[in-house]
Amino acid sequence: MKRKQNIESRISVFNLVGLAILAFCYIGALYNVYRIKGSGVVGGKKIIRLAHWQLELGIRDAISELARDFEAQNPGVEIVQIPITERAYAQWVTTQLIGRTAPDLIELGMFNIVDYCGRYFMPLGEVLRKPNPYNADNPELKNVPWMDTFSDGLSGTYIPELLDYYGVGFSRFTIRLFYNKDLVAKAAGSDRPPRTLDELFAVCQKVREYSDARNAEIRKFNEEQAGKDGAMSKYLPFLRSPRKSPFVLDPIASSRYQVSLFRPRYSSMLTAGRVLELDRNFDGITSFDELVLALLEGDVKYQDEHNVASLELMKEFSKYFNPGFMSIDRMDAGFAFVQGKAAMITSGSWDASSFIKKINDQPAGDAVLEVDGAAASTSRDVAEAFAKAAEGGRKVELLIERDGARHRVKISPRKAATLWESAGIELADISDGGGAARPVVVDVDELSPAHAAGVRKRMRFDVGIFDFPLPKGHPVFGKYFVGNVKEMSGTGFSFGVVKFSDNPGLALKFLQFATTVRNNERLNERAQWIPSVKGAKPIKMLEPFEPNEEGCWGWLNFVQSGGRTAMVEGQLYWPFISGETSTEEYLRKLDEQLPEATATDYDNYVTNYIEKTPDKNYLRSIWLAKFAFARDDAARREASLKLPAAWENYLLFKNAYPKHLVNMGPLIEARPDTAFSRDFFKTYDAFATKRKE
Amino acid sequence: MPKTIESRKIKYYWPLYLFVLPSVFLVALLSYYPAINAMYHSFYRWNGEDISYFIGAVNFNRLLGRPLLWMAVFAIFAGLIGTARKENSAAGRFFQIISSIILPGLSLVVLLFNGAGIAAGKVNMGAELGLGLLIFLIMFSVFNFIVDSENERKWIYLSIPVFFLVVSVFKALGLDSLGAWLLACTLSGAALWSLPSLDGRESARSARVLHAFLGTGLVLWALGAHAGGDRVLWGGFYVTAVLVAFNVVKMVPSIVTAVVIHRLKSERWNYIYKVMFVVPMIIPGMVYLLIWKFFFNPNEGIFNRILVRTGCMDLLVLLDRALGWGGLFKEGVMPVWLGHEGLVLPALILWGFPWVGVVGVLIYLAGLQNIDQSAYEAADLDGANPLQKFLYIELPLIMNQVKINMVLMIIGTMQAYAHIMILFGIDGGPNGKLMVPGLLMFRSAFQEGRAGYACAVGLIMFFFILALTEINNKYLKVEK
Amino acid sequence: MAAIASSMLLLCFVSASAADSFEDMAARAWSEYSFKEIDKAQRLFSEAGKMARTKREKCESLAGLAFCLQFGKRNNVSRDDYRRAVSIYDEALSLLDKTDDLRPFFLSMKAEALMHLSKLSPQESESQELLGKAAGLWRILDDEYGADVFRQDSLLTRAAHASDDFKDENSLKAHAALKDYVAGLDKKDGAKNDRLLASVMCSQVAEHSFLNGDFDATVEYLKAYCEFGPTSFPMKADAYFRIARIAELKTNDRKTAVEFYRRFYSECNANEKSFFAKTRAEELSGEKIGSGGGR
Repeated sequence: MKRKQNIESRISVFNLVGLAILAFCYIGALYNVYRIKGSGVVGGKKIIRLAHWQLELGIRDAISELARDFEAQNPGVEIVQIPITERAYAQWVTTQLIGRTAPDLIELGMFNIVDYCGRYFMPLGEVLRKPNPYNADNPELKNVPWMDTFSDGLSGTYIPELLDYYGVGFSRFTIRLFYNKDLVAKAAGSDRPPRTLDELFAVCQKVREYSDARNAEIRKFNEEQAGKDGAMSKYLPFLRSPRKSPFVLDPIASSRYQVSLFRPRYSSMLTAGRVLELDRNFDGITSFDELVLALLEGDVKYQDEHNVASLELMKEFSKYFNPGFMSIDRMDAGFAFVQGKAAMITSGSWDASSFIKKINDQPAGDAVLEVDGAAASTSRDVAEAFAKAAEGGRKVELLIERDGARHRVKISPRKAATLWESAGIELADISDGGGAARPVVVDVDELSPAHAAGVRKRMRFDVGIFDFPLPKGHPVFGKYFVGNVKEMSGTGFSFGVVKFSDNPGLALKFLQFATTVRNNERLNERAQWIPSVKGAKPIKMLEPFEPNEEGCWGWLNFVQSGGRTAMVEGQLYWPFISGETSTEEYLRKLDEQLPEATATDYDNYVTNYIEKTPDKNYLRSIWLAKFAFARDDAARREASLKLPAAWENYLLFKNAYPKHLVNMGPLIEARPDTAFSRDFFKTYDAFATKRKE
Repeated sequence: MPKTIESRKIKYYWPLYLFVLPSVFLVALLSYYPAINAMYHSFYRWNGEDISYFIGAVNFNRLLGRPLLWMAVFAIFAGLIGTARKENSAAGRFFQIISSIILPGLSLVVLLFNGAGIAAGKVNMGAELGLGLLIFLIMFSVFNFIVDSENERKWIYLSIPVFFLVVSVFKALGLDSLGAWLLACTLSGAALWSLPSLDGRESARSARVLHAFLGTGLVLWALGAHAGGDRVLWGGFYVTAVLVAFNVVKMVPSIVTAVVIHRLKSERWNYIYKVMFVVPMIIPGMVYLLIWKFFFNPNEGIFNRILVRTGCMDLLVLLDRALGWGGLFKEGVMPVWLGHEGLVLPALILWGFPWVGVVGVLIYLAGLQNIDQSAYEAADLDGANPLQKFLYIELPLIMNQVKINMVLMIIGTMQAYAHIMILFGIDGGPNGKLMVPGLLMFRSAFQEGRAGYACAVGLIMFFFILALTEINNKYLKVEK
Repeated sequence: MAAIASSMLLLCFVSASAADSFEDMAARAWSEYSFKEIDKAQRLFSEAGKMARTKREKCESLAGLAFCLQFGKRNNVSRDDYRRAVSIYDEALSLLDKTDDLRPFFLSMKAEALMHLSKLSPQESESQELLGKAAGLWRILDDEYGADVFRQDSLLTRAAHASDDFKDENSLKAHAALKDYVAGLDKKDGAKNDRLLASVMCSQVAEHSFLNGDFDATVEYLKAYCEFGPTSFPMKADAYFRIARIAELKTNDRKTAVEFYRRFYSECNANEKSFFAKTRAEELSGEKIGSGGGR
């Protein structure tokens, strides 16, 4: 009995131990949460938390460095960075905002900006209209409103629906072409970036020819091998003599994403002039309704020669894209470029550092230190040694360095004119990391003696960046050329201040600190991005990404973004750009299918404006009430600024229907005699929203 | 036997109802409420958020074109389903004749009168006839082999490939696909109902019912293409129908695998194989999708390499030339399975080869394990071979499971769109080839901001799924 | 023990829901209103109304309730909602005398509600009667509250809702009233509030003129808009560009075109059209423009 009691008491003690552990962990967690969330003060320091989704190493380092500088100037402050993975960012931010546990500074993006900013973020217009106090020692900027120190005046973070600015951006982004200098030099004889369209196509053609030549050699080899096979090997593949794999090299790595970068760029260069001609209200933009009017009146057709020229130009480009490019995504295209399977790729400055890092992570290739015991200082030394060995019918022993370790390999060369034919390797004198140049294996032929010996080639390469060559002066496209594209390059990587931050003043101060010329330059130097502040220079590598300040804008695009026209055109564009249909066929199908879709989208366009009008009126009512019942001067001042803006916003939507009546009314009555008009009105009459007119 | 609780005794059994209440509430809230909400909003112009106002049947008018015609055809369809199982029913005969002969014939006449039904462009007679002949030979051989000569319904199976051949002849003569099918259906329907040799035969009754369903299906196709509705939706139903048809065929490997595992004499190996089949279940669907995407890569993927190595590519090139496929397979050029308009649907069909679905295998195995050994012993005594045992013992006894799986497969295929969206984008791939109704629904709601329209699409899908499920339930017999 | 715990809990609950001041309640109500939580806002405005001690506070809570009905429901405002809003405005107006600064606000809002109600009326006679009542209120505003912000607001409301057909006489009249109002204003000086909505009036008149094909008036009023002060930087850029383009292509006013192209280039440099503006200014004037410029 006593033993049983002892056992029972032991059991109950064990239970308490478990309970104690649980309690300890729970209290610890509570304390941790309090510490982080609490009053924004931990250990006497004020904590500013900053969340973003840029997980690339350079970005986090850049922000950390900036944060350390800020902390040095503000001893009672600590900046805590919270990087969240892109996939989970939106959900994480949502739960944090709803739960009122959000960091003080949040990168804007991935979520519904309008809704979230209105509810959870501080409007920054007032403070942006004042000079940045950190520019006090800069005579040029000390009296300039903070928003005007940014390259785009921060117009990118103005939210018209909320009538205010909600973010401050640290960087800008533009798009360029990256190219594999080593490959282009090998194929085209020079690694100078192409400056004109003709030069670009010439380089692409040379790359293609180089790839074709390699594949011709491979095919010849494979045919010879096939000749050695017996009859049974046809049915039993494993009995076949070894074959070489096809040499995969495309001039330009592409995907649906890359096409979406190329297309507006070059279409703008050729059709921007036409866009301005179709602009009816002279605001410099051809909106969808203006486009529809132009189509109905016959002012523009899908067969417009500028449009056809831009289509043909894209088709020219697509000849140099990898097969099946429309069915792969941007990651696949990126990998192809990084792995040396494509000579060029287009992407944004946001990818520059990651491309370069991935390329530098590739194998450096076996460096030849000795040949048959003798030091090898140049590729020529190695080639000569191989030639001698081939003559003598003996093996060559190489001492190679691979990933810091040394290995000895023996290769049996064949008697041949070149090192490639003899041993199946290609060497180049390369200096990695600033040291002396030495022979490095840059290519290894499959099924060659070197391949059999396990020699590995260099996968790294030098990356060059260049701007999109212009079609100016081109014999075919030159006559349609309007100009280069003016790159708006609105500030991105922008942060908003959360309304319920415990230290909003400090959070704002950090943003001001980060956007002085010097600090913004340093931040972007580390991050390898382009600065957003005027006067801040990008690093040398990114100089080609500097936005073009002079150029045209807009392109002839017959679709409403997200609408039925975008769907139909996207579906038809796919086989066109893939080379399965001709330009005539593509245009013919547009003629058949787009008018119906345009009618649907036009009706939606007008209806959307009408439907959203009450919401804009409601916004106006908010500011009207705030003006009427303002409790202090600051509130009244804010309402005085916002009420006119709310009215303007409201009238923009309210006037859409009168505009439709003025512009479309005569056409609905008169029915222009064009094929587009007939098909358009067939659908419009059947399905347009019936309104009281 | 379930016990019925009389209403006056409910007060004694109230804990039971209390027990069930939370589940009922949750199902009502999470399943029925959203469905009813969607049906409600299909009559609204709704942007998915705060803008919502009643527009009546506008969404349905846009989708259907001529709603009355659709309703009439559906009413006939409902009548057909309701009466087809009744023997010697005048109403049944009425609906069958309407569906088999009159509706298809009338549709064809209307189409021709309006300038439709004829092939646009030049017809490659050789290609059409060649393809028809190929299908005929394959199907005829397969059915002839599988179906026992003593089977009274064998002539029905063998007439299916003949039907395909006749369709290809009409296409070669200049009709488009729809026109050819309608004409073939009308003529074969007339033959079914007028040939004296078929009178009184039980198999003729089955054939007439089947044919009636075919006729209604064709009329629905005609309505979709020409009634002025949303052609994107009806084109999507065509793609879905093809996928459903092939998915039915793709159920076979799971059944065969289950049978093979079931017949293993060693319990240990039976268990090992079961475990081996279950293990791949842990692979997330997305990973599976990406692996197959890689398989289909034109340069790097193993699919093209296997085709080349096995010589199948040469055969495909030959067939392309012979049947006029328009250069889908060219010598020296790797086909782009996920990029070419003509290849994306075959790629989607080939996806997941050898189509051994783990869940299916386990379900069939469970069914097979319920079969008594005595049935096998009796079959052995009768001298049945393994195939006969499968056809006459195993397959009938797992028909319940097959039926359930088929319903789930139909519903799943008709609703599925996520994999298409991930692989081909939100526009449904080249020429919108894979713009299935589910994807159109998603696009309408989240891209175009027309959530009410999307709800209407969903409601139409619901009716189609309901119809197919009803046919499945009524006509897939479960033999005890 | 249980009783003590429950009492403490109850005490917490009671103290948590103890009445805030009117200011707090009203602030919460307007906050919910601005977050589109109309039902909550209505409840809070009702509570605030019970707590109101002064006339102004009472009017504020009434305004909130009326706004919830008239504006808060956005696309789903019914005739009944407008009727109830009108009766709430009447209640507020009954509390105010002619000297109260909130009187024009309620007059304007009531007129607007009556106007919407008239549009929803199925019978023409009722519609005309309601419109007549609204017109009466507007006359009071015009006669007694010349430069008041709420009269300005009502002028804009009248112009926006006069007719969807901008060529209609009612629309022309309403926009003429806007022109009259801004004509009487000193662009440089003057009390700020009397020109609070002047820029919006100018931009509305400009749009109205443009759609009626009067390009001279369009340019004139867009210029006035710029002088009164655009509401935001993008709107300013838009106005400058439109003035320049219309002057160049429609009114053949080269001087104005060059002036506004230059201003666009110098003040809106970050805009995508700035290079084009510079080029056009140089081509039209024959003079080179130095590089640089703001924004």
